[in-house]
Amino acid sequence: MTKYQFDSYDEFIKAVAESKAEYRAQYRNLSYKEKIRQIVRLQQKAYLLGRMKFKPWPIDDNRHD
Amino acid sequence: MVVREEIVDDYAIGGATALAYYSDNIFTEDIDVFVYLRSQSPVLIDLGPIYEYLVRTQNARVQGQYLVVEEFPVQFLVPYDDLSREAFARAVPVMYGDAKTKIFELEYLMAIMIQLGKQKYRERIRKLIEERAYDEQKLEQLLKTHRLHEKWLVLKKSVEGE
Repeated sequence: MTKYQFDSYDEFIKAVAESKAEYRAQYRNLSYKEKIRQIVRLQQKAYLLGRMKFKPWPIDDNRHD
Repeated sequence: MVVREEIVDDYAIGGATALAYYSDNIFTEDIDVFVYLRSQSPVLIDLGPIYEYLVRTQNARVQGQYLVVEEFPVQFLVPYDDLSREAFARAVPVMYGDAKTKIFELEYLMAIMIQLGKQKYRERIRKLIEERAYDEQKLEQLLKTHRLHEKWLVLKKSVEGE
């Protein structure tokens, strides 16, 4: 497992912000279909926990556009 | 499909399914599809033909307020006020795989969430503010036009303080 070490709390906060920004930039570049697949992944987790009224949407999780 | 078969004249996706286009980590169980039925009276709107068509051709089933089409719970809605009509009229085309679809613009999705004021929208709004993904000027103008600006200022101050 990768361990991260920070010299200060501010450095840690900065790293978190950069990581979030990077993730968001990656997300923005996804196709709409791939973004919908992310909803489905959350649905699959919720379904396993019994928190869904419906089944997760039947979208193939293995394809990437 | 319902457009191709002239069951509806036009449609656009709203709600969380549209919001996922603009922001990550969105969870929803259903799809909000706004439909425009040119032939219908503005007073009495009958979604029956859509339901009837999808039940007959797609084996869809009714479950509560949803029509479950191929395991997708879809809520068909008709733009119900000036804001939702404008959101519908200005919906933008996006590609879903090879298919072209239309979704509400982010600022309209935000304005509708502000208007409805549901608790679950609070976190979404807080995240959108943090992400700064929206056009602030456009949103402000939209909220002023639809007399939601005061509500927005209160909400914004409240979520920014969290």
